[in-house]
Amino acid sequence: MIQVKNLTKKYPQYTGQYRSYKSVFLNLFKFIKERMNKDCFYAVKDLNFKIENAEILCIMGPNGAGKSTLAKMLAGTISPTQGSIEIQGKIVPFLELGVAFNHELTATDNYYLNGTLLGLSIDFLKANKQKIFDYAEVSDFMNTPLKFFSSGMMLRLAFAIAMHSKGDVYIFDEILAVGDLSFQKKCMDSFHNLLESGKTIIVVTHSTDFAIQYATKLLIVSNSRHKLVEDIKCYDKAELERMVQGNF
Amino acid sequence: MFFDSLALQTVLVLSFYDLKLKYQGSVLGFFWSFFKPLLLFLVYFFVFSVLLKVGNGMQYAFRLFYGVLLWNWFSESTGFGMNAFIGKKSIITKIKINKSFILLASYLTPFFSYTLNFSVFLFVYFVGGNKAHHDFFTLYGIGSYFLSLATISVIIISINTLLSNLNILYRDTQTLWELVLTYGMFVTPIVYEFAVPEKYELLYYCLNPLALPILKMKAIFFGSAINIHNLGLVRTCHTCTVAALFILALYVHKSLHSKAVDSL
Repeated sequence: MIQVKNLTKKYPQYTGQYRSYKSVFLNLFKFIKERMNKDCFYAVKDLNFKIENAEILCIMGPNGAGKSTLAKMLAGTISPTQGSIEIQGKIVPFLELGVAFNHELTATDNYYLNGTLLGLSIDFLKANKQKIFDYAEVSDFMNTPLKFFSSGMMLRLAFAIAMHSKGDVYIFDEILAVGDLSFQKKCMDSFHNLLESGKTIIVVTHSTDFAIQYATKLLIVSNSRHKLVEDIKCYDKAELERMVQGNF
Repeated sequence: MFFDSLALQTVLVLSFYDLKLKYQGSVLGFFWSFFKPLLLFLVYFFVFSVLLKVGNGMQYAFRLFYGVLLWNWFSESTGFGMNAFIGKKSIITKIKINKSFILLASYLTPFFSYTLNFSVFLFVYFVGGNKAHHDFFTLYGIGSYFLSLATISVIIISINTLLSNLNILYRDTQTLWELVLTYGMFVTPIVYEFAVPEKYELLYYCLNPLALPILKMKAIFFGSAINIHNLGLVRTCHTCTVAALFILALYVHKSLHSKAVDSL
């Protein structure tokens, strides 16, 4: 179960780039004025929703609408300015694949590094190493430094590690299938396995077709406004696309 | 629970691979951790004991060597820790991870290096015939050594916590800290030990919290007396200073880390 109450994330609208003490001292009055200025940009404003276990929430909206910010807050990587998020269960975020991958290290080193960061124990990683490398179709390159991998191979390895993370809530930020066609099919099969095993899934997507096919709820965000569509089957594709453009 | 076995694994794995990356691509790799301090000692020995004949035999070379090892540990740790968040930006912004784990890992990596360097120091210390001052092998010596080590560790973690947050918001923190380190080496008993006038003792040891534990550690190995007139008072005030630094670091981290992560 995920319950979001009065969730707000705002960023100050600075005009100056105060990245050094020098720039702060040289523009001290402007710096103080901007700090006192209450003008803010709201990425997410006063958002409320609740989804039950085994539900699939799709988040849609135009670019810059705050979808990824919301996904990051749900994943717990950034803190909300106001409001609260209550999540029951362990979260597995797919905000970016291959987080912490280092190209100088071998695939095995990166496997342990990335797996540990995703909350997998060393024992689990040792026991499932062959299985995960087989899934990623890179078993022959376990001891090869990642710098010699193609981008497709890296994504496959990253996806395989993340997909084997045991969680209750999965958050996908526009990453559902990677690699070539056959691997994409494998990714979608794994996604269907998650659905069948009753996991709660949050997907940030631009695909209305995907939302119509899978979502139990649809959250549309646009310019700090939002609309939660609970009866998505009552809308046709054209209506949903119009709403995603902000017409709600 | 703040620190379960998974958390411990995360910290150890992060620091292990940081250490591995340090020697990645070099022919001697991990063995540099032994060769580098050994070569450093040989330089000090040749310059100060053979050429300049400073002090009594090899004593000065040993003292300088150990002082430099401690200082290198401090400067490497703080340099590494200051960039802990910036260097691990992709992890912090994409995975839910306790930021303290990143700070702890950035402390552990240079600590492993120090431990290896220290083993080289112990080797040359005994091979060099330093049998006169075996305080290290008394209960007091070992206790005092680990207490000083813990004090320096708290100072490093506190400074890393402060700098890593400030460095995200103001990038010239790095340049300023390099200046502090340059001056700091000469006002800390590394190259030479100086007598601080009695009326400035309290101020000196509180403003430079690294000086007292380094003096103590040197005293353990070289049997030198700690020339502080009011040692009890200095110790008490020093402990309070280190505790205050730690609390300040926690407060700054609590106040700034959310804003700092947004700025990454």
